[in-house]
Amino acid sequence: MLFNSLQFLVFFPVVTALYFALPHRLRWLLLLLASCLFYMAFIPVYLLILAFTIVVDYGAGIWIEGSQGGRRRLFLVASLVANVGVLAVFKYANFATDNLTALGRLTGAWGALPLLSIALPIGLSFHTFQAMSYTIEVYRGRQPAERHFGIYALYVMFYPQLVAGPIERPQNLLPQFHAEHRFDHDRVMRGLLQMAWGFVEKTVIADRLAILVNHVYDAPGRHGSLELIVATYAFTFQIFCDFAGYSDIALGAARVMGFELMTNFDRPYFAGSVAEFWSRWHISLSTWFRDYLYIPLGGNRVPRWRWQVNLLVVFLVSGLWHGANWTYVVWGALHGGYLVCGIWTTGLRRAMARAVGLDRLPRALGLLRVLFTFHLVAFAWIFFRARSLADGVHVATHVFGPVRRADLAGLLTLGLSRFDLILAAASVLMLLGVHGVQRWVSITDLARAAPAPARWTLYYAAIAGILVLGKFEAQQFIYFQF
Amino acid sequence: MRTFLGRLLLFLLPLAAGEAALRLHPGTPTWYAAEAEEVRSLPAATAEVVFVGSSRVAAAVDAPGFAERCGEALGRPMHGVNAGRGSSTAAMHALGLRAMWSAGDLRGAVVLIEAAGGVAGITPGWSDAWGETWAGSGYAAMIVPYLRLRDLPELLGSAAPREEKLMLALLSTCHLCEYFWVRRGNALKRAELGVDRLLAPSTTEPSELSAAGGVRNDAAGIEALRRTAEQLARDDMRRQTPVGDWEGTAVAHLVRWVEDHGGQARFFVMPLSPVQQPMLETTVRQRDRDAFVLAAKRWGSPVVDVPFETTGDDFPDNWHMRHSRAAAYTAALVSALCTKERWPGGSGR
Repeated sequence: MLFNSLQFLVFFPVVTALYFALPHRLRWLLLLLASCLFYMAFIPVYLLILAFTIVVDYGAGIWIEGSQGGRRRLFLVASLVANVGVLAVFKYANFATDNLTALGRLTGAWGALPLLSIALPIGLSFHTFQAMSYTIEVYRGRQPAERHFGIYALYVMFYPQLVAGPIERPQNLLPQFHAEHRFDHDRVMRGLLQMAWGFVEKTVIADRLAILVNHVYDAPGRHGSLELIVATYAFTFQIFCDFAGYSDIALGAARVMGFELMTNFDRPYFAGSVAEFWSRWHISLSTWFRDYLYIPLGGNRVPRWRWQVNLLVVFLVSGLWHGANWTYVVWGALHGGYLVCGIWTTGLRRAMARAVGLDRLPRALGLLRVLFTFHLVAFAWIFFRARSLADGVHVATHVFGPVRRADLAGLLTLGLSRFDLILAAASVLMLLGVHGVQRWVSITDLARAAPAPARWTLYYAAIAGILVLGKFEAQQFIYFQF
Repeated sequence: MRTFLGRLLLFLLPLAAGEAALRLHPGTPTWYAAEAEEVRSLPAATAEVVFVGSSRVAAAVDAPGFAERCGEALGRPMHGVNAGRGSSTAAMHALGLRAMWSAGDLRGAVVLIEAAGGVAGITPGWSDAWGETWAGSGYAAMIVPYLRLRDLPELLGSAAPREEKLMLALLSTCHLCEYFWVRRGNALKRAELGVDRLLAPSTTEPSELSAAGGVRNDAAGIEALRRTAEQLARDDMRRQTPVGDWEGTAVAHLVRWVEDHGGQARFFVMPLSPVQQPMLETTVRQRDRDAFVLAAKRWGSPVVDVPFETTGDDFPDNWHMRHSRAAAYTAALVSALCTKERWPGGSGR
């Protein structure tokens, strides 16, 4: 079920009302059933895949906790193999087959290999990673195995974060299912406001920009430099608003019921370096890779060359996690490359700043860093959005082409009217403004602290704003495909 | 919890008051509902002719002119209604015709349906199975005035996307929601036009297009539709799929409904712009067209050819016929249809 659908508009209040009406001992059952219903709105039969990983990991958790030495490791490996196996079959099998077919044709050794005719289950990478996080934490002795099967199933399936995260850790989420949450007016209002902001990001900004981005990126060869540049900037904000919008709705919906999920975004386009960007973007995934891949590989406590290899490995895997396509691998490699280049050029950049006197102007230097980081990230998004590697290369090489004044008229051929273009630009500026203010004070807290008439006006205006300016063609969230 | 519920009630109170006010004072009817009002006032002997189709029909057919000239040719009073409208679906027309029929005795009325709309690709939803498309995406408000409570079981049980069914059910039961949605659409349209007028170079020449049926006839609107038509034609020709069997389609349902209620249906061929015509000249669509002609004959509602020459200049926005050509096309329609041999049921009602 999409958050930006009428179904959810009915589903959410009904489930929330039932949640508070039921005694605590039955609430897990309600949430589990609601989560099944939520997931079954996509492809019902794929609930069986979730059931398979839940059963395997639930058993593995208990067995890991109850065993020692080699057997303990064996149960962990079995659990990881089951989870990665599901990912391999449903997400990567056809990608591997395609590449083997291409290799066979290139060498003349074999012809086309048969593809599996399966659709990728929605949010597979998210709930698989969350399940893996559980068994790894139990193995490391940092989390007791969950004995209540229903609660464990809910940990994997909790509907607000089931299909696109945040990827929770068992230490944060499992205890919250055991605790009783009473109705708290202030918390409910904060949750609803966060949801409203998420809807603004998704329906007003992301889905409007999506029209322009899809138009250009579906056939990049038909567009000139200016159109490619505008579409790339538009995608940079579209993907943020799409994913951060989803996360805000998820966090808000969970908060209304008393659950605190981890923050997933912290104004990432205000980051002063690519490393900082990754501490602000999709935080639940980047910390997952940090804890379960980067640190086990040795992190930065290894020789300098190994550290750089570790960074590249993590970002290549992260790229592949996003999708079974070479475009994602290139996107990951670009980010890994940025970080490695950042290490190489630290001294050089400091010297350059000193040479032009920027070291005496910290604000200007900070702004320059933010702008530079933003453009590096935006450039990498080209490959993330492109439908194929060839399209990605085409856009990446043509965004630097000449831009003529006459090309401005072409912007009106990208699927958005003048009104929509102005609205999209204004809403992006508003987003940046809100992020600028949020550096000092939370917008939600500001709204909550306002006098009642102003607060109520804001509530009505927010709802009317979403309903009037939002795009309601129920566009799927980009990250659902991962 | 009590505080929250109290405030929620306070929040909902103005909305409930709005709903009550709208139920007590319903809005003025539009489209078919407005035509139904007109039909109510006609003398019983007047024969009714209803043109059904897209905004192409709205732009190219002068319905009162047709009724006058056809009435003269057949020797009886006639009243013509042009119900062609942009983004309309066969379901909208079926329910709209029902609204007209309930307003007056329309037995013997002739319903002339755009044949291009009955061929896949041009007008979305016409060649879908009945119940699969009630209103196109973003056009729910167009069908809602004609949906009755008794239609809801059929709507909810139909094969339409769940989201569309929920939207239509909500808008047809909640007057405030419908009111808001219609006003929202109008406000956004006005905002778009306003911004275009402000920023686009304006033309002082009289527009070449009629605004009937929701056609945009300002310079920016014409330019936007030109591009949309080109894009749509390119996209359509890349991924055409055959309709196959026309029997279960929405357009077949529309014909059956007319016949079941004592009316008679005929299809007429609308000329298309040189940008859109190639969409119907592919092998897939040629086969669909042949199958459609045979199916229409089986339904007792044959396709009438209307010989009429056009050029690209006749379609300023690549979609709709120039206003100045409407009279000539209407005359061609009269020549093709209005003889005692060809007119459905001869000259008698």
